[in-house]
Amino acid sequence: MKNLLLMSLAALVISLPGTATAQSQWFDFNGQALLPGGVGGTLTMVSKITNNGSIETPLPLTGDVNARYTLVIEGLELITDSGTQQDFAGGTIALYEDDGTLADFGDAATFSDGTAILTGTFDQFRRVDFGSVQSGAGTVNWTGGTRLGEIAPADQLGWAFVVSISSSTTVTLDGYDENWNGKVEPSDPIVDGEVRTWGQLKRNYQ
Amino acid sequence: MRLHALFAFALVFAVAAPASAQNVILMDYSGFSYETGGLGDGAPSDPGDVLVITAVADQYDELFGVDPLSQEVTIYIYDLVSDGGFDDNGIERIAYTGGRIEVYEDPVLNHEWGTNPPNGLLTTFTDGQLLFEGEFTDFNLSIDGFGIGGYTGNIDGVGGTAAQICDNEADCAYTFGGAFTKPLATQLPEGYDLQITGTLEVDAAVDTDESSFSAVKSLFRN
Repeated sequence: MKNLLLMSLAALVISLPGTATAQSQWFDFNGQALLPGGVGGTLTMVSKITNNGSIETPLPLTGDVNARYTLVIEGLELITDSGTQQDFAGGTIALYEDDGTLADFGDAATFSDGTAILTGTFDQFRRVDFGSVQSGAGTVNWTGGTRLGEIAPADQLGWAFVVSISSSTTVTLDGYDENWNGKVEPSDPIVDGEVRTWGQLKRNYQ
Repeated sequence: MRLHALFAFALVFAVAAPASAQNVILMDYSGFSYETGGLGDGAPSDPGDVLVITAVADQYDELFGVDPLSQEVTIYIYDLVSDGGFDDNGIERIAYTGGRIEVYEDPVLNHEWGTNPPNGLLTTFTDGQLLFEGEFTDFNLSIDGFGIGGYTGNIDGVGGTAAQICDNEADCAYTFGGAFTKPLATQLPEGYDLQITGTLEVDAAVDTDESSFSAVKSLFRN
């Protein structure tokens, strides 16, 4: 009984900091996209992670984040195109960490070297053209990468992917079709305590 | 000391480098928005409803003069009055009148959205030094039935310590971005209506080049 009480108290203590400090948390990115030529073609997007410390990242990222981390989308296939609304399927997404070659928009391959710390797939992605501005949204499931284990299995699925899109020359670089500025975020902020199982917690008090 | 040298060089570099086709300096921001009476996820925008956006900048040009290592940059957009909008083949298109934007730099990293705005935490976005202030000349927001939205707005610059970077006060700045309602906006705090990811463009009075701040910093790496 005493042990149960201690465990309950410990569980409360561990969960409280996560609740109290549960702030907004996402991977923020800014990049460039190449659009498919038509239905059946695929979209590619290369970007740099832009979190500067103001917004917490779902996984701790270290060093010069903007220089070390890149987010890449490949193989996102255009399934339907109504003119104002485009639906995509398939496609992979990967978050890379790289201390070697700096990512350079002049060479898209420099975004996908390094270590893939998170890799995943799109459940769905929709792009809408409002006329003067475009936006997109989809769902990402993380399925691999060297740091996947830092996210509890239940939290690896169903991340929101939202993006502001512009083809303006003020933000779109030569050689690309659009600027993509968005974020990938879990349903709820990832807290350290979430990766512990109840069994792991109990073992701390045995 | 090295940091001071870096900033000094960055300023010289930005001024001395050849001008790009358009001298635009950029700020990227993320945040949340609410409208009095609610908006999206089944709630229409009614005439007279007022839209508010509070956001944090996570990337900005060095010409804003902000130390990215010790300063928080926050954005407060307010007093945008809805015309009630109309349905355009499943897309709700809303035009707003009025509206102001204020951008602050703050050595205290304290921004917090809280829940059920307006709330007392709004001051965490408006403390610090006023970096840029402007008045909207137009602002338009569109949202489709799935919760995907986008907005654009033109701004006259009226003040702030960085106002001198504008090439002139009229149509000095432009902002656009994505706006997302639940269930797409998974981390939307209770009481907020939209998740925002946006860009602020300011027409610069000085020549700029296409080098990002990271590109400048990379010049100093071994």
